[in-house]
Amino acid sequence: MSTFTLPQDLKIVVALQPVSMNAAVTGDYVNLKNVAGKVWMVANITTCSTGGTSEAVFGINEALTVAGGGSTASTEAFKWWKNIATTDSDTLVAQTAGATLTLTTSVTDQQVVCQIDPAQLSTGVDAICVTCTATTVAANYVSANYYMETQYKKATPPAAITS
Amino acid sequence: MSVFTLPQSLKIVNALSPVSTNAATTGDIIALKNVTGKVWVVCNMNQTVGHATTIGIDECTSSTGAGATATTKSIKWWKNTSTTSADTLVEQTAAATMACAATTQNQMIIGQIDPAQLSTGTDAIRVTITASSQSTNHASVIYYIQTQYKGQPPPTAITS
Repeated sequence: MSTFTLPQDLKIVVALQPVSMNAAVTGDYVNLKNVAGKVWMVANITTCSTGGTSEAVFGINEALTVAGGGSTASTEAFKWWKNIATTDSDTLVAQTAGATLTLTTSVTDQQVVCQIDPAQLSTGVDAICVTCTATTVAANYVSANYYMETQYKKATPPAAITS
Repeated sequence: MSVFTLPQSLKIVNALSPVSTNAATTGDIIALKNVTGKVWVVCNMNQTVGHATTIGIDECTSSTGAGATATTKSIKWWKNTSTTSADTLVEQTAAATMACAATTQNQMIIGQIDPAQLSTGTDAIRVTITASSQSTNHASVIYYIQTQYKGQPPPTAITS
């Protein structure tokens, strides 16, 4: 019998509440100090029928502080998974590792997962956040969360949005 | 060293891509046949206008949604009523449904469904969200499923 309980075994932090992708968006920063394993960013994307040709690009910013100090786009090769038609399928397909991932040009809703291993980030990096470029279509939306393997599994894992 | 890899250890299924909660919505239906543990429903709620939008779970007798009825079982819930200022999920009293706080704060609600507690004959479930009557309020929902087949990828959950 598994004792795994999602909200207690992984720290779940909102990166982006459902927000229009008309303009570029930057998610909340999360502190890596209590991460004992990896961090996953899971994003849900609504691609409207009139604006599905826009290819938004997801990336990860590295920062020196959880307030975003010294934030720069990471150039490390992250593992990515993508489902390019969540209405028809629930299969996440592993992608070639890369610093960024581009949405598929289509009118279908999509899902993107990124795996970040803090060990692969630049020296001095204390926090990360997800970024997504603009689709310039107001009816396209994105929502994203972080799922963090922390060293303190418990009913209320420690905060990740403060130092 | 942990061997846990989120997209391989749990089946991740989109329930609702970001959508307005102006009208009531129902998420995609997922089959429970490969579930060996629990299912979590993770809901992101963007509350531009404060409203006690309520999240519930429908029990279905097939993965096409036959016999869909709102469960009356007591489900475990966690809630963060202000995701902008905090990242703490607070466990709630078990109940069949969970309402957002009627505030303009962005919120996160997580439900934990143990298939063993559902009605006899239930083969599938789906998330439901009541209408906020506010076109600028949005929800996005994902299922995380403990399956018996961990792999790359785990087996489908949206077909029988």
